[in-house]
Amino acid sequence: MVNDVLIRTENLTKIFLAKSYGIINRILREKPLYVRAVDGVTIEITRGKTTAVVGESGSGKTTLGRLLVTLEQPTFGHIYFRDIDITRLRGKDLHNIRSKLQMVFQDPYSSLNPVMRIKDIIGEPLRNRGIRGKALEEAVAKIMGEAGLDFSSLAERRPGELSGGQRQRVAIARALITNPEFIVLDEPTSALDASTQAQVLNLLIELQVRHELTYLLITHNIAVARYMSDYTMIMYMGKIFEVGETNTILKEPQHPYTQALIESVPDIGKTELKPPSGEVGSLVNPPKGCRFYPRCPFRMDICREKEPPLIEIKDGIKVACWLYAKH
Amino acid sequence: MALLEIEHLSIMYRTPFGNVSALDDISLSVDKGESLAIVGESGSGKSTLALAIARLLPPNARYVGGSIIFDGVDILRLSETEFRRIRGTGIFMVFQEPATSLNPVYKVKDQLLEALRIRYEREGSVLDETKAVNEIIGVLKDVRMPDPELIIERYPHQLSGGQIQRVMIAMGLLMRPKLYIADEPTSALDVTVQAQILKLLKDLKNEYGISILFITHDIAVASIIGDKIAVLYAGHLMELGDMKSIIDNPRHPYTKALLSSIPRISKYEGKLPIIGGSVPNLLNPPSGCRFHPRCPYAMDVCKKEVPRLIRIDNTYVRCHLYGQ
Repeated sequence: MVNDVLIRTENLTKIFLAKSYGIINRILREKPLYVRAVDGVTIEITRGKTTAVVGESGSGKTTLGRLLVTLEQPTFGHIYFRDIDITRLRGKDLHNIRSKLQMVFQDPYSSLNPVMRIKDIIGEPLRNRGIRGKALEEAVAKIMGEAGLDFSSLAERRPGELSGGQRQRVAIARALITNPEFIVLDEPTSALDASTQAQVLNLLIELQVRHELTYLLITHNIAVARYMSDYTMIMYMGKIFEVGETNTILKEPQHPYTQALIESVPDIGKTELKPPSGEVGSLVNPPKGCRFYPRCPFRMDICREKEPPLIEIKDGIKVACWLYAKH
Repeated sequence: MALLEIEHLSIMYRTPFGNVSALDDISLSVDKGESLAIVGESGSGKSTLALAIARLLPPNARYVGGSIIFDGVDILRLSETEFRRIRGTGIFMVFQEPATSLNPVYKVKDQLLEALRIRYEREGSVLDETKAVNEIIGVLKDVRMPDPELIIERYPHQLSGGQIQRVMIAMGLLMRPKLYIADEPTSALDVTVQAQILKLLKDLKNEYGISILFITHDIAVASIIGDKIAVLYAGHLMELGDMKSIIDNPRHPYTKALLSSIPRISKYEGKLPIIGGSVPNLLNPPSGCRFHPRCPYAMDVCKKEVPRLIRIDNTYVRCHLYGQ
C-alpha cells in the first residue's frame, strides 16, 4: 500500500490574510483578519489513480490543488512527493520537481495568453527548460496530436480563434508536455458545453492510461467526480469531511454534509431535491466545533464545542463527524 | 389557457461580420401556472429568447418575424410606454449574475419598496410605508430568507449570491407578475444553494400560481424545474414536450445525445458517448438542419432542407427522421 502513494500531506495548512494589512491598519491597531483556506489536511494520493476533491465555493479545494503543485507555499504542514518534502525545495530543485507536477486551470478563456500562438503556449514549459528548435517543434506536434489538436491547422493560431473545448485541449497539452507524473485538474470542464464536456473527460481518461498519470480532480460536480475518479474527498470550509472509494461514498454517504450534497445535485430521473438549510459560513470566523454545525440536521452539543477527528469507520472510508467518533 | 404564446419568432443580430440569425422560427407556449424550461448550449439562442420576451434585446437585434402574444396582447406591437406597464407586474425577469442585478448604492429595503410602489401605482392605491415594509418582510420570509429584518437594512455587497437571488425572487413576488422569466438564476451559485432556489421556485409556482420560463444549459436542472422542456440548438427549436416524455423518451438525436453525454450520479453508464465537433458558428450556420454535421443519423435531406416542426403524440420534434 505504501508504495502506491505518490503524494502525501501532513497537517497541510494555508492561511491567507482576509484583508490587506498595511501600516495604516497597524497604526490604528486593527487586528489582522485571517482565513484558513486549507486547515490541517492530511491525505494520501494513490499513484495512477484519480482522486476527486468535491466541495462548494470556499471549501479550499482549489487552494489545496495549488499547494500540491507548489503554486502556493503552505503556512505550515508538509507535502511529500515520492517521499521528498517538496515544501522545503528552493531554486533549481523546485524548478525540476515542478515539471513533474502540473495543473490544468478552470477557465480556458483566461488561462491562455491571448497574444501567443498555440504552438508557443504549448511549447513554453519545454522552452523554459532549454529545449529549442526542431526538438521543441516535434514535441509540440506530438503532444498536440495526443490531445486531439491538428498541428498543421492550429499551431499558428491564437487562443481567440479556438472553441472552448479546443482551448481546454491546449491547456491539457501544455500540462502534459513536461511529461509530468501528477496533474491537478481544476474544474476542467465547468466552463464547457455539455456536448464538449464528454469529449474532454474521455480525452483525460485516455491520456491517464497512456502516460500512467495520477490526477487530482477538483470539481463541484459530483456526477463528474463519479465518472472520473477512483477515490473522492469531500471538503467543506478547509476541512476534509469524508474520504474513500468514490462508489462507496456515493452509494452510502456517511457524513451528513456528503448526504446533503448528494441530495442537492440535480440528476436526471430525480424529481425532488433535498438541500440542507443555510449557506457556507464565513471563513474569517469559522464555527469553533464542526464547521457544518449550523446547517447540520443531526447536530449534537459536542459538535458545537469540539472539532471531530477524521477517523476510519470502515474499510477505507474516513469520516470527520461526531456521529461516528467516540466523544 | 396559454399565458404566453410565441409563434414563428425569428431574431437577427447585426454584427460587423455579418448578420447572425440567433433565433429562427420559434413557436412555443406557456400556460398559466406552468413552468417551461428552455435548455440549450452556448449560442443556442436561449438568452436571446428570454430577452426578446422581456423586450430587452440590445440595439443591434432585430425582430425579423413572428409574434409574442402575452396575456392576449401582441407585445411586439406595443410602444415602449405601453410595454413598460407590463414590465415588472406582467413579466418579471431574474438574471444570471446575482452580483449585478441590484443597484449597489441603495439598501435592499429601498429597492424592494420601489418595486412595491410601482405595483401600488398600477393598482391605483397609495403606498403606506410601514405596511409596505411588513409586506416586504413577509415576502422575504416566503423566500426563506434568514433574518429578513436585518437583511433589508443592508446594501447588496453585504449579501451572498444566494441571498441576492432570494431578494430578486422576492422582488418578483412583490410585483406579482404573471410570468417569471429566470435566465440561469442558479448557475453562479453553489449546488446546495442552487437546490434551495430551485425548490423555492417550485413551491412558489404551486402557491402563487405564477408561470415560469426557466433558461438553463443543464438538462438535469431543467428536469427538476420544468413541467415542459424545450430544447434549443443553434437558434432552432429541436424538441418541445412535457418533461417526462423529453427525459424518458427523447426523439430528436440532439436531445438523445445531450441526455447520454452528461455523467450521472445515479447510474454507471460506462464510457460516455461523445457528440463530435462543437456548436456551430451562427455567422455561417450549417445548411438544412443545423445539427446535421454532428448527427449520427444524418441523411442527404438533412443537409438540404430545414426539417419542419412536427407533432408526435404530445411532443414537437424538428427532425427528418420523423414524419413523411
